[in-house]
Amino acid sequence: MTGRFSLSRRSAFSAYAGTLALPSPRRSLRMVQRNLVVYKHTWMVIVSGFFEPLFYLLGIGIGLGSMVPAIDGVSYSAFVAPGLLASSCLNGAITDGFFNIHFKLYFQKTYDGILATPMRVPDVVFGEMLWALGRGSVYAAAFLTVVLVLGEASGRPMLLSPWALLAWPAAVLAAAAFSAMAICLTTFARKVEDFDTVMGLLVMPMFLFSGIFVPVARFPDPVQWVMRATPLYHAVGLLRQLTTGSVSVAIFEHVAYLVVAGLVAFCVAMYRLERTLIK
Amino acid sequence: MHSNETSLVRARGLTKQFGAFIAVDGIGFDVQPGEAFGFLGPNGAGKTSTMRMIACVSPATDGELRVLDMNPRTHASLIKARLGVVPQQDNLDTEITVRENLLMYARYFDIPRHLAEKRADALLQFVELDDRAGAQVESLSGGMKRRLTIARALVNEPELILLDEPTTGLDPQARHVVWERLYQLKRRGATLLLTTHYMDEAERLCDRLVVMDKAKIVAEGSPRELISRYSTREVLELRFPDDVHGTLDGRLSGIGERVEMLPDRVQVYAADGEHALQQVHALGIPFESALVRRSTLEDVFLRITGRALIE
Amino acid sequence: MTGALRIVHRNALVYRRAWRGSVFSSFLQPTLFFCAMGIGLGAMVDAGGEALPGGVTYAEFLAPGLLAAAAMQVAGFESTYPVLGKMMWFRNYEAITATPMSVTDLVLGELAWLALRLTAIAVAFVLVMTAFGIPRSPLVILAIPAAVLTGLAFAAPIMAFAATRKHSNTFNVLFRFVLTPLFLFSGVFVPISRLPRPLVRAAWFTPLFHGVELVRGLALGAVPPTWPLHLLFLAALAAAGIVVAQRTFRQRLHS
Repeated sequence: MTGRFSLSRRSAFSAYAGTLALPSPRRSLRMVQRNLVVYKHTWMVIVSGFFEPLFYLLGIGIGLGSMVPAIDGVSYSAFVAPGLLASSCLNGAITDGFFNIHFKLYFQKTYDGILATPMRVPDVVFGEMLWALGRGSVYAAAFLTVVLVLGEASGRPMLLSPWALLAWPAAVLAAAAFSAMAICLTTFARKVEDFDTVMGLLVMPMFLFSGIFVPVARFPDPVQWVMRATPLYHAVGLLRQLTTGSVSVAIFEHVAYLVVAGLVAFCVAMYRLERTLIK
Repeated sequence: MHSNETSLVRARGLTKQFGAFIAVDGIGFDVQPGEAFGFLGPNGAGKTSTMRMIACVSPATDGELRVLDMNPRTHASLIKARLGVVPQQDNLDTEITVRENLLMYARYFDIPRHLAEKRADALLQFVELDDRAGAQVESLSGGMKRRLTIARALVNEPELILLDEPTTGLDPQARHVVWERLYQLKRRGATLLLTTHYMDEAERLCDRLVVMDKAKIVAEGSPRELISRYSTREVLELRFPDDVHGTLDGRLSGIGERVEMLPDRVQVYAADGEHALQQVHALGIPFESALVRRSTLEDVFLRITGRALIE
Repeated sequence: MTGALRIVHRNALVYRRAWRGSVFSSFLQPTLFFCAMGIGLGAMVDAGGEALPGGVTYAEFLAPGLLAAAAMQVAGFESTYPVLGKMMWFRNYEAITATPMSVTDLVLGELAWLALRLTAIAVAFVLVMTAFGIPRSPLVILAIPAAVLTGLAFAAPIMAFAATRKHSNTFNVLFRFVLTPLFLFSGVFVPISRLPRPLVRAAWFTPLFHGVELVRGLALGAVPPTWPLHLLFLAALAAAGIVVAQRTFRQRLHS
């Protein structure tokens, strides 16, 4: 009944690894539930997150679209729409996966309270990821609907192919990958200044150079290489292939990137949060 | 030390190390069901680290620890389901209301919704926050937040309640309200495990306690046992004018059992304080004030470590 | 007045620690925007053959617009979270008003500090534009104060609003529903004449449109004849904002 244990450094690591169990679906959903309760009070924030890509679609996709010639036979608005769809998935992930978790982790110490219950770190991480990905998916669904309606109503459709039916599941995949990466990133951010670094050096350049507004091929080679390593590039590529119907073998590269990067980020996030919260 | 198989918490050689810093150094104790067990010691003694290990949120570096007859390393979730934890710093969910805090917490324990609502309402009444059920947590005073934290810790009807410095930072009235609630819990048969650096709290609430200093346990027993073992029944506190204070060396020896020279006063430990006072009178040394009081755990700590509990 | 200067000094001290982050958001961001949109997108627009007012390239059209917009973004951000923070969490304002400094000093000081930062950003911007050969007139120098004025026209009213807030939640709404649409529909990216008539009319009542007209006109040597109107609008908005800010600050701090 009694167990004596003496731990060296190396076995401490394996003890940590040993405690990294799989998340329990039932417990993870508690985190989603908690976020729902929180946002019951501040639902406006969720609603407003949907509008940003919509404004960009109207202002640049359509507004500027009349001045930009077709790209590979696709009208500019149809070119921009899937890009903004990908960015709408990113919105929810950044807010809930990065900023809000940082606040809960380091300021409110919410997770300390939650971990005094049978909830475990994998449940917390997976649950938060589910919420962020859920939010991104809802944004994506709403955005797709708007794109469809606007396109048909204006006589300039932006969804050009039956492949577009797969656009929403693809967007969910993108949202999942983004969420995992955002949570992973938040475990590395310690000072408030890091927020600016993340937004300024990561999110903003991605937004500008991942091919949402300008085909990546038009940028200098070094920029292209860097962008090919970023998740937004692959999400944009994947969604654009589906909505414009120009599906090629490259689609597997995009899917593989999102799946692998998402999984790696999730595992790193779990490990680091376990180290931070259980010490 | 009770080596009882029915101990709710059992520690032997329990150690916690952060890098080179040893926070808890090979301590051992048993907590029996139904008792209020205290860890008394100054800040940095290792009390919080010990509590965190018992609460299964900090892995022990060495030694043996069993909580509710389970190993925290392997059965954390099962143990936590039967614990109630009141942490040193409130970590209430400031983004949701008072009642929602209790309901959400109940969900983490998988308590069904209707039962959670009943318990939440009962607990809000118990801590007298029922009129603030819909309020934002931020609008509560420090004392109210503490009461809410206590209510939250009870939502799963725990067998063992851990309280880390439950009344630190509260005003005197709030402290009394909290103590009153803890008494009630004791009467209902709950087992309380609390840490504190307030000797009055330890004396009032604890059936047994251990005194911790610099990561080790330096004394153990009930408050009364400790006082009778390490101190006398009464203490005579004398304050002398500054010039006289410096010249007292040895002049008071022979009065009472022991004389302790402090920077601002002299404490004479005797079984009968009044008698000691008469003896001081007889010596003819002028003093500014004299106070005869009973010994407290503060005196115990001073005796064992040579330092005051609160620096 | 010295009270206001003291505020400037205090902010400078704090800024020295946090400059890296704000360099990103206030300078790097518009520059990156320009590279991607001005140059990348610009090549596509110019190839499209549609004429821009004044016959300029898209890069030349966009850059001054981005400058005005950058002033708006920085002003918007600096007037919300930091003000709320100093009011509520860090309680700096409370501490400061316990001294002989007045609320007026506080408001003017914060705006003066912001004006300094906006000037620095605008100067850097103009230098980068010059490096790309964009400005077509020496009047581009005046684009700097024009951009600063645009920023202040946002900062003052927003600061007044921020002082009344208990949560930062509404700021999100402000950015999403006010600043972002202004960014996209005030003539920064698309000549205002190409937008639907109702949007054009609405733009006249918003500060960014006026700021963009001024800054672009000065930078490209084609100052519109309506420039006094634009100038007046921005100055009046800034002044009104200062008056209201004094009131809301006083109410918040002296209650």
